[in-house]
Amino acid sequence: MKGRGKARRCLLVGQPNCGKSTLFNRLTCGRQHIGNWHGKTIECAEGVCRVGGREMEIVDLPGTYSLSPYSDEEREAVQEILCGGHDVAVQVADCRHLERSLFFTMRLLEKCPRLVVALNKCDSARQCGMGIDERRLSEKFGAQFILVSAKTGEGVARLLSACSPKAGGKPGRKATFPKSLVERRRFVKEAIEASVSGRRQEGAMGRLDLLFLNPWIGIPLFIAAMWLVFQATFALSAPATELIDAAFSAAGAEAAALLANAGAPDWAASLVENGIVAGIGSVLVFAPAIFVLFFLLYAMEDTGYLARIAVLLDGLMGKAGLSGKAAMPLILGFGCNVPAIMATRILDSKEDRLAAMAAVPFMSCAARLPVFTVFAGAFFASQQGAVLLFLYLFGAASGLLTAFAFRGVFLHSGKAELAIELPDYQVPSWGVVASQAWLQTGEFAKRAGTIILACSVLVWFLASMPQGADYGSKGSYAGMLGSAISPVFAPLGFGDWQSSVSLMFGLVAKEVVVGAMASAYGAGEGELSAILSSHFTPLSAISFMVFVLLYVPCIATIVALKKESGSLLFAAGAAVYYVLFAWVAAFIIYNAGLALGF
Amino acid sequence: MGRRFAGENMMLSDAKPGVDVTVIKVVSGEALCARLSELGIYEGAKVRVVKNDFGPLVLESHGARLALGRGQAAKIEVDA
Repeated sequence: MKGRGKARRCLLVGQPNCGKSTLFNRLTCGRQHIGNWHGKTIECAEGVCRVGGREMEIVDLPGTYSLSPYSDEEREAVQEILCGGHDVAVQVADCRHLERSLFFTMRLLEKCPRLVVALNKCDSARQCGMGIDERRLSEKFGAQFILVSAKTGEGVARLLSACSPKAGGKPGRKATFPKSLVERRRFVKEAIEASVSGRRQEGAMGRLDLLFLNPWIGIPLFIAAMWLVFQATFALSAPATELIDAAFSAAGAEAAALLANAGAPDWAASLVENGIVAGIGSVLVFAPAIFVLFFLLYAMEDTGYLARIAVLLDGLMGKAGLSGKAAMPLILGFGCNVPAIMATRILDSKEDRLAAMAAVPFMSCAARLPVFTVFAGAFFASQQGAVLLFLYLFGAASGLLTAFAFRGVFLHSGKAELAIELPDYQVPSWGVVASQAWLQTGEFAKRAGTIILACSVLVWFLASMPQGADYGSKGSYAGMLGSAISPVFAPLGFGDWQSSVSLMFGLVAKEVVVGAMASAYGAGEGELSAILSSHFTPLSAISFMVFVLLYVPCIATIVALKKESGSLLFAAGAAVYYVLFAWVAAFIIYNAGLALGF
Repeated sequence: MGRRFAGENMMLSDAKPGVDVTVIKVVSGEALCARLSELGIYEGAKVRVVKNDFGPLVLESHGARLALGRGQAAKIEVDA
């Protein structure tokens, strides 16, 4: 290789739904990673492909309609990137909707002369009876236009060779286009009339909108779809989750035994088993569910259904100051808050994202359910369902209230009104969906894993030190801390050290609450309900459940908040807010109940 | 609907579903105008109203569908 410095860098630019990610996936053969954070808000997928024996770095930019200043930070970042640091840019355009894309092409050509336009989805255009003359378009715009189909791979080799340095053609010729909008429109219209033959007929798929967007039909359909997603998430991920769980407990026991045989002190064996291995395990057990959830979410997005949900729920969500698009992440929160917070990425503006992120942790995730079932079973055996329903609705209402208040206090821009394209319905490209979901899962494991691991080591330390104390007993540091903070919870009706300890452990993960409580009361998990009735009244049980529902969901969620908002202050502030909110809510419920004579 | 008189223009938010209209004027700031024009709504553009009951409007322009908030649609003057 001669005189190679940095690899050639190629940007993929295009409007949302133009098939950019599919093309990216095809070019990089799935070898990709999430790139560094450009600024604060956007992440780009990056990958490498080989062109004529040389490597080319490919960057998949977020979908954007234009380079205009209307757009939010994301698009400003795109503009920044467009102004330098790359060798060639590829505009991906859906050749069935050329009119809008060509307008964008003009703007792009004024900014970066080394532009190749990939006219994507040419296979489906052909099926619709459209003929597109790429030569005419190339002449008219002074840039190379190439018909490709990212789905079938047609034209991709030609696209790559057009991006290679040898194809330099006529670089530096800055295109000149008419200045005024009206003339530009005429220019585009003429270009299309000269090069596109045949018209796109309206597909029968278009009529699906009348079904999906009708509130009486659309909302039940949507609820059914979400129910299916949850069922599928848990059903499909359960075998992998169990496998990981079993593997980690076996590995932990094995490692502890090995260490013990090698003469290591007890505390070291316990650190490895209960701290490190269990800590890594507690992160990885989430991974299958996160993968499945993201897979289904991306697949729904790819079909075009997600955009319809945004329209359908816009009015409802608007009352809480959220855009319709926020419904999806909030509902995912009932499964697991961590991917739900990651899923707020589908929202357009930073403001919308922050408001939605603040609300997500109130959505009662699956990990909170064991606590509710134990308490509801012990105290409200005959009305368990009603108690659960009350808790889920209470959480959702608290979330919407929080979003509403957050918008009012911190964000002064109004809710962005919906102005989105509704993509054509299509069968998702499974490869792209899977690789996107895989990327997200990897990111979760990598970024959150380090912090959760550190926290679980800390919990281990607190629960098993000083030496000789039983794990999680009153004599351990955790027990002492529990005793110290328990007066805080006395006004809520549960001021004993045991519940305080279990709430502290619940910070790591809510699943832990029941187990920690059992070991603190010195009971097996089966005997817990009997013991609970001597420590709680039905009223204080409700108060405890409300507190568990609302206070910080888990450390992974706070880490996700920090990562996705890019602000430690936001995450820390949110954590404090959740605890205070939970305390106040439980206080009101408990004391109102007392006053009413329960 | 009250402000509409015979032969006069109306706002897109008042247009009936299933009707083809031509955009006469977008009465708003530059930023929204630019955004709408990227979505295919500009002076002279032909737009079909697919759905307009409550919630966002669904429109069709250049063979693609759009959803547009009611407030924005109320700033777009169209012929009857």
